[in-house]
Amino acid sequence: MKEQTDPLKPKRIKALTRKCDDELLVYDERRHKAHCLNKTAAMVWRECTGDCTVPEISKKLDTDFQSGGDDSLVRLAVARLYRAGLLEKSGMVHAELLSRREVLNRARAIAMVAIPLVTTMLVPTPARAASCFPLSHLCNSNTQCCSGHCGVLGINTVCLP
Amino acid sequence: MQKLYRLVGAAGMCFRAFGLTVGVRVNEPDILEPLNNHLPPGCRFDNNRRAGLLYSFYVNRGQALRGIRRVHTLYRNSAILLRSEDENDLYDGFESDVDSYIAETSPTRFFVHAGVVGWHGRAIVIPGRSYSGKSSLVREFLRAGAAYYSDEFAVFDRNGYVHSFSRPLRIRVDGSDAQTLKFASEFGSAIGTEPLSVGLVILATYKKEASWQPLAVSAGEGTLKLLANSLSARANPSRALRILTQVTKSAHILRGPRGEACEVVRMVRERFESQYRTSGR
Repeated sequence: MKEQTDPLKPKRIKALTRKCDDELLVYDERRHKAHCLNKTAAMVWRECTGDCTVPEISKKLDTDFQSGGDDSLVRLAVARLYRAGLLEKSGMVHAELLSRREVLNRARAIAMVAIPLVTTMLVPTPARAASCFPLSHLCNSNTQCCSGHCGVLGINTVCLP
Repeated sequence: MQKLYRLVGAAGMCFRAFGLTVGVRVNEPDILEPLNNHLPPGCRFDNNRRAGLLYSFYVNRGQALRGIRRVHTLYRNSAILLRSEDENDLYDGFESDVDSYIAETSPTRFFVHAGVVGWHGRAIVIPGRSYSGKSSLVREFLRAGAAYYSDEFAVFDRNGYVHSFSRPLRIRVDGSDAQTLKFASEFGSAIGTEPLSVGLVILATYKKEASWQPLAVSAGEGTLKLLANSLSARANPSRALRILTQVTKSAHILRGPRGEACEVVRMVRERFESQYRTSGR
């Protein structure tokens, strides 16, 4: 009965993945964001094919999570995956993910190790990742300067405050 | 380009480093000698390949005229990279730009902005941006007897082993912007030559009066931090993930703000020295 009133069928985005011990690294090439999913989040994300509802995913993972039919852990995972941009936006009904506090209150009974975690990091452009120049150093563009300001001084362009 | 060639065609050279070929042309043959000190570590001369990038040095040795500045120019392919009245600025600019070019486009190695030292047969990698305190930490490890690998880039091969990229250390003087060059030998340290597997990744940013109480970080999170300091991950994320997961697979990863560098080195010695020795790594 619940499944009929719960149309949420989360679908994961297309992304590069790499297993790293228990964790899963996901690289979103469209946004150049890298994500690290712990075991719980990774299991839920893999099941988000767009064909199953949250209770169905929960049922599939019940043996692994030992949640006794409670889908709050999967809902929390889906909420976090959604927020990280790892799920397609179409068809997502945000309100259905429950409030985080509610989910966490229910999930507290579950071992902390099972709480789904998603860590996200923006992969920088080469210029951002490279060493920056100090003040008065010759430069070509703002990104080269630690101050973020490459300007003209005399005949040269140098890093300015 | 033809005009430029007429301007700087007096002499030239071609070198190969990390799978890339770079050409250099000059208008005064004698500047090739000081330029040798600014070539990438481990490069070799190779005049039989087509250069992927061409630098042209135009050094103005004309007679100084009153009221007219003598300007030297460095070109990157056909575009002006730098103009300066100080010839040495051109060499520094060339060094910085050629390093960036190699780090971003090398087909054989993967570059991460990090300091690297060798410690009992394994590498300690200290990723971080400028002003994060990498160099001072590298210097402190060298004083403690580590082998010098790099102050700027951790250079990884496809198996996750780190290779040397040993330019002199650039140490900032008393927190100012001015930098001085220091050679590893000045700290009684040798330059590492053998590729090493990574034993420890230190994710520490300098904070005045902080005490270093690091947290162990998972391999996945460590990989993310390395990705955030890599130069070519956007161009080839699949390769980046493959190499960096190899790097962090067997490494300890510690994260936290640090105070003085000597405190970090002391803690690392206490915690990991015996471990590395007994494991024979």
